[in-house]
Amino acid sequence: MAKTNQANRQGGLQTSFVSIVVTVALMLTLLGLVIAIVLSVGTLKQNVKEQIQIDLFFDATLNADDIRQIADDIAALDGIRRAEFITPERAWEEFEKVSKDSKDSLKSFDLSLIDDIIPIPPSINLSPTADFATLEKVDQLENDLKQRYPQLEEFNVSRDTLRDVNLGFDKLIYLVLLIACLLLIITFALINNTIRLALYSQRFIIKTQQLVGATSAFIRKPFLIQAIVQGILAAIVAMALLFTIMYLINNYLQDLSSLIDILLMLKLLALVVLLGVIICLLATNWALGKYLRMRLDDLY
Amino acid sequence: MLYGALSISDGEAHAVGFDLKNLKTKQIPFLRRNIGIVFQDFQLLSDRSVMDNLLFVLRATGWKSKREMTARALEVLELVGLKDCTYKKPHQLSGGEQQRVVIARALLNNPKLILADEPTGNLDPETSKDIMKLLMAISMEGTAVLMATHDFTLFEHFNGRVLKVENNKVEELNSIGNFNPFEDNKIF
Repeated sequence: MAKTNQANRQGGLQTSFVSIVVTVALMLTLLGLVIAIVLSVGTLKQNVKEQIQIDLFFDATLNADDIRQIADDIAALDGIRRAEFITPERAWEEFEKVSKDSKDSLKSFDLSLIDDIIPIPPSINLSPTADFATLEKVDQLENDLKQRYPQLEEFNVSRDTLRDVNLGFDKLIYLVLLIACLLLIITFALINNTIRLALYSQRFIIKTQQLVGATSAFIRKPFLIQAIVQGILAAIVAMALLFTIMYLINNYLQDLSSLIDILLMLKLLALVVLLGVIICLLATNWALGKYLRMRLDDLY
Repeated sequence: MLYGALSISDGEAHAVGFDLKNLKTKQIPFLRRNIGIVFQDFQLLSDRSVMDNLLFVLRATGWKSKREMTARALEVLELVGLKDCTYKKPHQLSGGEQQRVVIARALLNNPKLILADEPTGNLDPETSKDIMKLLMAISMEGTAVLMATHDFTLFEHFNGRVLKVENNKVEELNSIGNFNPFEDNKIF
């Protein structure tokens, strides 16, 4: 009978240890996923911003070689990811391709050249880096280039797309960040509750140690070591789950796999371990503080 | 108040060399190491044996050597007559035996004072008498024992200073008995 009681008691304590690890692991996985989404949205925003294209057209005083030289100079400027000289022939090819692909009005035009003269002048096609793909910086770039090259006639960029990309992604990132913060609070509340309940069964051991003259640090030490172990174990489980999810995304959702940056994901995993340990430690320390402050009569 | 659970609101108080009025939180564990506490409801750790209960207290109060801890635990268990029960769990002991373990635990650090809060409250009269004999023996060996009880018959049979707390006042009463635990007595 005594053995059965002891086995039940030990079984109960083991269950509470396991349930804490499982709860923390699941919450960390959820939190890790939301943080991964925040990071992926950041990568997506960068990718889209780097696709922004600007076309520069010059007046007839500059020949192709001059423009080619200007393209090289612009490519070396700060905030320019690439600047490419576009010959009239290549521009015409692109134009024809777009016209063929298009199902509407362009088809009705006759695209045959008169005397083989291409009506498109040589140009420069450039893309700013993601940091410079904002309305203000693109306007500044336009002013700078017009001052530097007075022959620059046209600076073509879709300002609407630029505005939408920046505003849209910012809103999305704020929304996901808000969800991540809420989830962090919920995670902390749940883990705190689970740990406090688990420590409730140890309250008399804590109080007895206090009454016989154990110092607060001596009483806290084994519980805090256990919290670190729980945090690390939970983080390992959470990492395994996150890796599995990432593996599935890589294998079955090819479109999304480009958004997973390995370095960012490693940082995410480090963050998950850190969060697991910190949350477990804080929750254990708070719960211990509560039971250490309580009077013996209040423990019943 | 004596073991630092409550602070002093007015006046002065000293216990086992500590100024209770100006007692800092960090000093409380060291005050308690000089006081052995005996509870009415034992407060033994039910998940471990008698020996482990005692070793646990020794470890918690700064003892390091396993050999010295075991020797001290056996010593106090012998004092309370439970040397053969080291491996038993508290629930395998009778109420009187559990209270003896609690007294043994209180004696571990050679306290200057033993606080006994209704130590016989949960025990039958015969076992109560044994526990009282043990406490009297400890007091005669040089450790002060301060015991709270509602059982008037106890202090009628065992001599000592009797203080009555009533209506927020402390009043000294005379003890009737003249009990000596080391002699054959005719009280019971």
